[in-house]
Amino acid sequence: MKKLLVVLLGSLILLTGCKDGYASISNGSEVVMTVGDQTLTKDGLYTYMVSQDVAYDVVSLSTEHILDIEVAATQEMIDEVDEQMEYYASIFGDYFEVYIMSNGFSSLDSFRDSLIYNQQLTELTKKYIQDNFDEVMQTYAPKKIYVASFTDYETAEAAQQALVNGQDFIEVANEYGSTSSIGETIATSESTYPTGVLYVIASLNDGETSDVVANDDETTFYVVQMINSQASDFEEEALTTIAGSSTINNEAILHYFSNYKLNIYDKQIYDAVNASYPDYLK
Amino acid sequence: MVELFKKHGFVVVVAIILIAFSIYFVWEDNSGKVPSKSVNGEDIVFSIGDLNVSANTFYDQLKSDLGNSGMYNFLYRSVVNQVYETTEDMETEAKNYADSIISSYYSYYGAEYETYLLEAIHSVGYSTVEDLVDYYLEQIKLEQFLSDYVMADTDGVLTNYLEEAKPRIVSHILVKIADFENITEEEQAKIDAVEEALAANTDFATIATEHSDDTSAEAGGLLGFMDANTSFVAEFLEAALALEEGQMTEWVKTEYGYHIILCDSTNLDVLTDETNKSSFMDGIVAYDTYLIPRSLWEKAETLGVTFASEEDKANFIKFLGLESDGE
Repeated sequence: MKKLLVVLLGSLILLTGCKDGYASISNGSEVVMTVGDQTLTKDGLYTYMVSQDVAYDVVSLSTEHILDIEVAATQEMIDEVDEQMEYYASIFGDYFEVYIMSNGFSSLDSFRDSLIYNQQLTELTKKYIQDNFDEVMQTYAPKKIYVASFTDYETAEAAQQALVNGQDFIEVANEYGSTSSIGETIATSESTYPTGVLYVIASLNDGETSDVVANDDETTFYVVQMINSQASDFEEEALTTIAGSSTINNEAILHYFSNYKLNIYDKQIYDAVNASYPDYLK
Repeated sequence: MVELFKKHGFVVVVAIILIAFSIYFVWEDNSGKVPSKSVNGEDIVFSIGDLNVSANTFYDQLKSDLGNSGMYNFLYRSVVNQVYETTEDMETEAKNYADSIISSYYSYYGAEYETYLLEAIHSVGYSTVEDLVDYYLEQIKLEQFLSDYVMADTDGVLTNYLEEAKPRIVSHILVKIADFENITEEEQAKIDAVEEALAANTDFATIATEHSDDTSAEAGGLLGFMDANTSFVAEFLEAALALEEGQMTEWVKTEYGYHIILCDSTNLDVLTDETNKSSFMDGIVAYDTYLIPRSLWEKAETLGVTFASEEDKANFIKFLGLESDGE
């Protein structure tokens, strides 16, 4: 009994001496570079690098791992990225690599990898949306619409009247000189239309045309026509539009980080991640 | 056990209470601490899902993104510290800069200032607030190094800069014109007054102080250092660069009004005096964007520079924007 008590108390005393963890590299004294009588070791270089924006690297590496499991890069993604690289090379010519490196990339390959990474991120967001389809559709409420905009009320009203009379939207938009892109578009609750237009989009039934709606300072006048308010009828388009939202991107990433659990075993790095990305540690 | 309790009940109760408090104390002390982890003898930095990222792997990853930047930080610090000994004046100046920065951060951020200051210190490759003096010392030495390199003109950078960028000190007199199609009586009167004063050989600075509509009027019309890269409106820039020392333009029309521009000096001693030195060096660094890495690399080569691998060396030279050896 006495021995047990002594051991127990001894263990507790030892535990009070626990300190924060710091991870060290092996062979830290290996020389990376010398200039004259000055030496840069691996430890010295590591200390410098960890003092930079290391939180981004932790989150980035963790995200890559999640992406490789959830949405591995497909040949289609790689082909699309290679097409993009060819396009950029044709624009920048011999200056391409220098331009890439001046923007923080270590090489053309690392830039190419970042493009593939972005493709995977988009697919991860789409996957998240598909897995939470009903909830996301309710939140973002995608609707397929036509929208025309004009710089004066009278023109907008005339265009609206023509639409109510049954004229084709694209014809009317062209005829009356709409200043916005003419064609079908997917609107969501995050679309950057004026409040009045968002309200109208939320309330129109399929086939209906709105009244003229002005923006806040009455410099632009809108007419909206509802094509289809049922997201399930244009699911892929809705997915792609919503996946472009930074809010849903962030929501998706945090969801997967919560599932995979990021744990950090170095105090300095933990503090850096906790300062910049606290939600990723939950 | 029951017998023990019957015999030493009080002691057992006290022992239990003490142990409970100890457990709580240990838990309280350790909660919030970051645990360490190692796998197969390697320290782990972080884990995500089933992936453990060791410090060695993390080092390799960071090196691909930040290695060159880290080596560059080492390059400039090791070169300037080996070329220049720290003097008492340098130390005093560095300490003054450091104290000034700490004060600025404190007055802006209050009690939290150290957190933000450390962020800034880390971003330039140093670790603690105490390192600020070292940072400024090395900046002072770097400024001296660049100045000495430029003035030695070994690679012609100074000659080329003077010829192509035409650095100079200029002054001007501005008469603002609201509408060039309808010059007001007041505006015309000012133009006439300036012309009259110039014809009477009145000192340019005096005319500027009295008549110029620009804020430089307070300084006798002095705009100070400029070169071909200075962001003046095109008409002003072209006219100012065309002047020889001491020459003055006719009226130059810009969107602001009419200017008379004077080239105060193109003399190198004036351009590099205490007042203008900093602007001159900024100008030449903007003109030759590879000046700093090139000069540091050249000096490093004379001191002797080695790398752990040829690949590191080749990548670093590319990072500096310099030609590879032999190319």
